[in-house]
Parts: sequence; structure tokens; C-alpha cells
Amino acid sequence: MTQIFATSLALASFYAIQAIGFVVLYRTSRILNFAQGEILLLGSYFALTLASVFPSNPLLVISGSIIGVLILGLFIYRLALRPSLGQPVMVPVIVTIGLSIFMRGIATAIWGSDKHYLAHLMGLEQTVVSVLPGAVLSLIDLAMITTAVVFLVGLLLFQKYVRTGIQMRAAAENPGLASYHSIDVYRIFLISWLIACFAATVGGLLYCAGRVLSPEVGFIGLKSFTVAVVGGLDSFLGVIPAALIVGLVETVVGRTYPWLSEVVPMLFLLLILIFRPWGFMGTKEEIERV
Amino acid sequence: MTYGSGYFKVNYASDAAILDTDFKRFWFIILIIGLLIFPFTISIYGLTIANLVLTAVIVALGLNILTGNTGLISIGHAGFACAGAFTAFILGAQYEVPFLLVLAASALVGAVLGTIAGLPSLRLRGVYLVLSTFAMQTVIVLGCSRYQAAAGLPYGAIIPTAKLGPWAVESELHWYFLLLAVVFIVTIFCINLLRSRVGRAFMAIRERDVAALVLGINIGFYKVLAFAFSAALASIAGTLASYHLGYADATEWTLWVSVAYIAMVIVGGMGSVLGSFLGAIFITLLPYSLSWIFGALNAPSSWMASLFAIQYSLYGFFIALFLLIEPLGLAGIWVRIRLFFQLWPFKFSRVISTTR
Repeated sequence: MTQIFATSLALASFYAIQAIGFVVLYRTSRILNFAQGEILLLGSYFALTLASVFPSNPLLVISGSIIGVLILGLFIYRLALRPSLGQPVMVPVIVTIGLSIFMRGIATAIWGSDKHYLAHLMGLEQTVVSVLPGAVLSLIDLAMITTAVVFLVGLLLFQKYVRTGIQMRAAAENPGLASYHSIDVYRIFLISWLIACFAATVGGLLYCAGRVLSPEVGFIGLKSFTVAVVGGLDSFLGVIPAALIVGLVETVVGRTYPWLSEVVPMLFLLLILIFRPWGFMGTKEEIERV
Repeated sequence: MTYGSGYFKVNYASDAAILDTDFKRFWFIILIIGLLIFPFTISIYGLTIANLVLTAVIVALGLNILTGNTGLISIGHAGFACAGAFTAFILGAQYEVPFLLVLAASALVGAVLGTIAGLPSLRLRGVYLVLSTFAMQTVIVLGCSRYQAAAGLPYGAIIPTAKLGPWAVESELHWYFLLLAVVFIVTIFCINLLRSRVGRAFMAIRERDVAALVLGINIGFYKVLAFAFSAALASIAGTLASYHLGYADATEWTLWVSVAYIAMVIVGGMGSVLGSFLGAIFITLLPYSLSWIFGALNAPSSWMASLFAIQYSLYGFFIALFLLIEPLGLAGIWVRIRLFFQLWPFKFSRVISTTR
């Protein structure tokens, strides 16, 4: 029983990291990033390549792949996202859908569709630690939980105390007004996009390190995306209960009906869209009512 | 639309005609003759591809009415097509219902599912609606694959030969003419729909729903209607495709297929019937021309293996490219070329015509 909680906590932390990525981007730009899963995928593949060049050097591999993804993110921003800003609201969304299949295709073309075991290549041992009576977690899962907490708290503090963070909140509240106050909204958007890329890579590396890496992993982006919607797309705090609930239900259901665990997030998505489209803690006015 | 010569419409019949000039009528007849001769000039392989294009055209026409004309995005159309394929499987294969009845039933199933998928559009707009169609797609495909697994057919079900009364539609040639007839009917229907009150209501909603409401358009009804119509067409196409290929497999209708349908609409040209055709042809032929090019270049076999991946990255590339650089799509390019020759040697006319 406690094991279920421990496992679902690890899964929830992963979902939380991804959902924060969605929320950061959505708040400043109103873009739903369908390509998050593919950025995660590319980040993990960068790590795979780095790990085969520098084996048993996890720190170098992780920081290298994060830098790689951030550079890639800059290119994507300049070539695809910036031109699509200011157009009808659907344009950036479809552009990210296009980007997602573009990157998935590129990843499959370069690295093939074989399965890889990242942890082994990076020289990480799958050490198991007993956390609670009757529950064990691997070190990677623990790292995931720690990362999620640090990331969320860090981002909240950043938005509260750091100048750029305050500017981000202002831009989220009202981009037009923010730009009158000489806040460079495009710069804020770029920063939040890079934070989203960072979240995708870190979460993805930890996720893939604990499991296998194959192009199918990209779908995890769509699944974790529902967590952001369930929590409320414009709310950081809503992510916590949403991630916990979705993670728990997915773990419990996955034990009894493995085939159903893939759809649990989707069912959550449908239910929340029907009954409470603004999510647990999102702003109600955020939904453009018809 | 402006005409260079002194061409005037003097009665209602000529105003309502789709082919309003002799020039258009002449080229239309040439087109029909060409389409009728075409299957006898190509190989069976080419004919099969032509049939795939024709089925894709049906979906693209429906999705274009939803996305291009009403302004609602759906990334769940493969789900509706899957529902159509499973209507064919359940009714056609398991209960042995005649083909035409199955076709009617699949239109009904598609319309019902489209209505369900469209209901959130009464409350949600923009990205949230995309999400609900995405969830719909996942649920439909999952339901169908569970049904398929429960029936003991994990790799797809055999669909019997389609029979139109006494005639069996067996060869690719038969299918070509059947699909051509269906596409013809659907095209005429779509053109007329867009010229009618319903089509104008769709476009008014696309431009600005509040303004449409003020004009006295029942927004909710027309949005759901657009969804139902579009899903019904996708479902019919799914049924036709599964009868044509002879099997139905839920796992084939992935999210990527939905994205390919969207790519057809965007690359072809949003809101244009001609665009649906151009987009369906372009996107369906893309993988075949890719493998042809690879074959011609004597590409290494590792390239062939990643053909699927390259194909999808090209879909994504074209979607982004057309949205950002040519939002009117191939149809827009075509209009520009036509205008160039129409106005030559001048660059502009007094009245700028828009896409149709």
C-alpha cells in the first residue's frame, strides 16, 4: 500500500515538472505547447549521444544535454514561435503540433526506433532505497521528487522576488499593459519558453533514466499536459494536487488494468473539460466563454 | 470574382450556376474526361494510390468545412474515421448488413460522435476545444481497439467485399469509379453548402462569433452542426477506406493520421474546396514521392528505414511553413498564379479577387 503511494509520488513529481513547463509558457504567451514531449525526447537523445561519447560521467551528460536543448529552444523560438505570435490564437498551437511531429520524425530518423537504457549508459546504478516502512524507491525516483519540489519552490520564489520574475507575472496578467511599462514582452516570452524547455529536459532525463528511451516516450508530453489542464492552465499551485491525483489514479489503475493506465490522463482531461474547464485552481475568467 | 471581358449575369440561373462561363464549362468537361480516362493509363499501384487520395479528399473536405470555414480545429478526425471503419466491421462483417446501409449507418455514427465532440464547443473556445477533440480521438480509438481485442482480432478484422445491389466492387478500377462518384457528390454538396445560409453562418462564426450572434445566427447549433457534418464525412471515408482495403484495424488510426488530415487542410488552403483537393493530393502523395525519390537517388537502406520518420517531419515542416508564410495554402498560390496571367501585362486590377 505504501509502495503504491511512493511509486505514484515519483510519477506525480514527473508530471508536476512537465505541467509547470506548460503553465509557465501558457501564462506568458497563451500558447499550449504540444511539442513539450518531443523536446523531452530530443533532450534524452542528446543525453544518449553524450553518454556514448563520455561514458560514466552523468553530470557532464546532464548539463550537456540541457545546454543542447536550450540552444535548440532558441532556434525554435526564432524560426517558428516568434513569427507565429500575434496571429490568431490557433496559429501558434498548430505550429507547435507541427513542430512536435517534425521533431519526433527527426529524432526517429537520426536515432532510430530502438529502445535504449539511459541509466546504464550514464553509469548510474538503479540503487533502491527504502523510504517508508514497506516502500522502496530508486535513487532516480528520489531525485525526481527532489527536483520537482526544488523546481516549483524555486520558480515561485523567482516570480516573487527576482526582477525578471515579477516582469513575468506582469506580462502574464496583461501583456499590453506590461509592454507600456517598458517590459520587453518578447524577452519574457523567450525566458518562459526556455524554462519550459529546461523543465522538459530535466524531467525527461530523470524519467528516461528510470525507464527505457524510445520515440514512444514523446507521448508522455501529451499525458502530462492533461495534468496542467486539470490543475488549471494558469495556476502554478494547482499543479500539485492535479499531479498527485493523476499520478495516484494512474498507478492504482495501472496495477489492475495495465491497458487502461495509458488513458487515465485522457479520461481526466475529458471530465475536467466537461465539468470544470478552468481546472482546480485556474482563473475562471481565463476560459473564453462562448 | 471579376472578369476581364464584358461578361454580365442577366438572370438568376446564371447567377446560381457553379460553372458560370463557357470557358469553365469547357475545362470542366476536359477534367471529367481526363478523370475517366486516367485509371486506364496507370498501373494498379498508381490506381491504389489514386483511391487513397480520393478517400483522403472526403475527409479533407469535411475537415476544411470545420476548420477552414467555421474556424474550429479538430485533431480527432482519425478517431471519427476509425468509428466509420468499425461501423463497417460491426455491421458489415459481423451482421452482414448491405454496403449502402452500412454507409448510411456510418454517416449517422459519425454525426452522433461529431455532435458529442462538438458539445464542448458550446462552452470552450480555442485551445481547450483542441484538447477535447484530442481526448475524443483517444477514447474512440481505445474503445475500438478494446472491441477488436475482445473479438479476438488484435491485428484487424477482415471486411467483406462491398456490393452495390447486384454488382460487387472488387477491383481497384471499380473502387476508383465508386470513390470518384462519392467525391463528386460530396464536392457539389460542400460547394453548395458554403453558398447557402448554413455556409455563410459558418463563415460568420469563424470571423467573429459575437458579431454572428448579433446577426441572429444560433452559434451553438451551427458549431455542433459543423462538427456533426465534418465527422460524418470522416466516418464515411473511414468506412469506404476499410471496405476498399478489405480490413479494419483501430491501431491504424493514430494521432498522426489526424495530424496528416490537418496538414491537408492547412497545406491545401483553409476554407477552400479546391484547397481540400490540393492538400489531400499533396499530403497523400508525399510518402510515395519520397520513396520514389529515395529509390531514384539510390539512397542507402538506412534512409528507407527512416522513411516514415522523414515523412512525418515533413508534415510538421509543411504545416509550420504554410501557416507562417502562406496561410492561404496551395489554393492561395494557385489563385495568385491565375491572377498573374489574368492581369498580364499589368500587376494589379482595380478589384482584387479573393480565394474561393
